[in-house]
Amino acid sequence: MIRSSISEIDSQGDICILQISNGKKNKITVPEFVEINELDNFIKTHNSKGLVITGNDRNFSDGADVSMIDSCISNPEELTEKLRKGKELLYYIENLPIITAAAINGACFGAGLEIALSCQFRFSKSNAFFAFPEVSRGIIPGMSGVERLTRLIGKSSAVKMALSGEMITAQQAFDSGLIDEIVTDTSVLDSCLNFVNDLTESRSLGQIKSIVMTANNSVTVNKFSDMDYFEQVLSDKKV
Amino acid sequence: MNVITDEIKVELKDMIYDFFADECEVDIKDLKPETNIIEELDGDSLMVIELIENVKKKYSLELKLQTIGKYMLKNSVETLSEIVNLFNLIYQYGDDIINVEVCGA
Repeated sequence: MIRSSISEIDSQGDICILQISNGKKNKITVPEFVEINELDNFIKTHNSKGLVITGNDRNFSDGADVSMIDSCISNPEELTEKLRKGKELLYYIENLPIITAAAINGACFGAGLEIALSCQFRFSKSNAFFAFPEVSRGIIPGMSGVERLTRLIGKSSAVKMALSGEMITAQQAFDSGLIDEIVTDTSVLDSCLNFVNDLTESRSLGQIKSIVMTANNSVTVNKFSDMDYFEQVLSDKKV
Repeated sequence: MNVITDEIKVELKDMIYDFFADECEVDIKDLKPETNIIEELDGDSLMVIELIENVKKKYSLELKLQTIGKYMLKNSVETLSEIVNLFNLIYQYGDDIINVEVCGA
């Protein structure tokens, strides 16, 4: 097991497990919640066929640490740079040529939801809740979350969710297509691992990479398209 | 508005106490009406929301999450007695809870 930034990287068989581990609420105190190079190195060294991201304890992630954002209001370049690294990381995860899945418990808010959205699949415990609360703090999701959400649930639903800041239940998330499965009887991590294992165990890494890369190439976000919008909103907030 | 019987009140109170004893891993005998779920049990408001969802399903209640959010901005919901009171109001008023004046809150 490797500790990297506010996360822990481990493996179970051919599956790499990335666990956000930052207190009970798993606040994203740094957008680059794991060092890209360390994660990439681990996946390559272990010939991982899949990556499962989860949160320790009861929550996937309560989102960004608001005090981090507030402290950067007077220095927006610093926040923009931190977000840029976070976006690079999520872009990297989104374009990994292996199976990626999020195993979600409890709160999946803000930056936490953006992390989950960067995966191909999302498994959720029935007690999970999802939201983009950024608007109530005068900002917007800053790591391509709205783009990825739009792709999943459609433009009108994504705009409504991001602009209202409303919280939705796991059932509502499933009904809208935001998540792929609600887990009730077992641990969501076990369920997610079993799913990824079932998909990959009889397939070569080459097969997996070919199929996933083809799918990735057909749908990809513009890495930095919302940076200008985020900077503008941040600038408005400062005024 | 739903009429709340004494039986329902007891059921709701038991659900709440069982839930927090289980989630916060404490002996139910140690829970008192004045127990603060955040300061003493290391709980959070999301637990209250999760419990609300459970109650909604059990009693087929109509209640939007946003309504609860607004209620919790205006009223303290941290002690077990405040939570029990909240759930009694939810049962009776549903989404109209936001218009209810909470005495002593």
